[in-house]
Amino acid sequence: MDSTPTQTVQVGDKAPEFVLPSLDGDPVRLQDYLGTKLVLFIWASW
Amino acid sequence: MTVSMDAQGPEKILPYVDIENSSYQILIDQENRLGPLLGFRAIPNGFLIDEIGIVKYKQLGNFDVRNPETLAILQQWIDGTKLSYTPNKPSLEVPIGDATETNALFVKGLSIYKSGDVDTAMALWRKSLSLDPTNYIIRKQIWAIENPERFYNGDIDYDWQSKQAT
Repeated sequence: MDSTPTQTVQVGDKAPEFVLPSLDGDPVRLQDYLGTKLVLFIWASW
Repeated sequence: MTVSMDAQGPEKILPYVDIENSSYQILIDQENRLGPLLGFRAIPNGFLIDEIGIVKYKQLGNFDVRNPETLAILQQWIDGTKLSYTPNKPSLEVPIGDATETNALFVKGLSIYKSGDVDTAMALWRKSLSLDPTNYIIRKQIWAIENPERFYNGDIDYDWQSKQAT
């Protein structure tokens, strides 16, 4: 069994809490989305 | 929910989104908080999180609605059927223990960038990148600021990117 610890979230783990601003500057928490199935898409203009 | 990793700020995202008609949240992560937290060093990535907050799917790279495999996964998610899942390459993950100093430098660089001192910011970002040389969140951000014509004049010049020294 692989005993290498990992800090980063893996499938099966609870998603870590985060707060980030929306484009209008309002903070949005991941926690606000409990109760819904979420698709989290990470991208950039580059 | 989409999160853009653009350190340069919301102006960079606006051309790509339709705020008024968007049914989803459009967030921005200028400080790269999510990289170490969710474990990614490049984009585009997709995470599927269920109603109680459990990560059911994590894909690093190639998560793109123009990609049929991504569409298939999204359809499975919507339908509630079993997700076909391929584990990610370990090299794409944020290495354990390495992220703290790398990210501290990136955040400091961002603060200086926002104050208008681009040269000092770039120096800090290069130092950050030297600690994690294959981190493409940091690397591409540096490229985009130094070579905006390769990113923001029409299509992104991937050919140019592949010619850059690692």
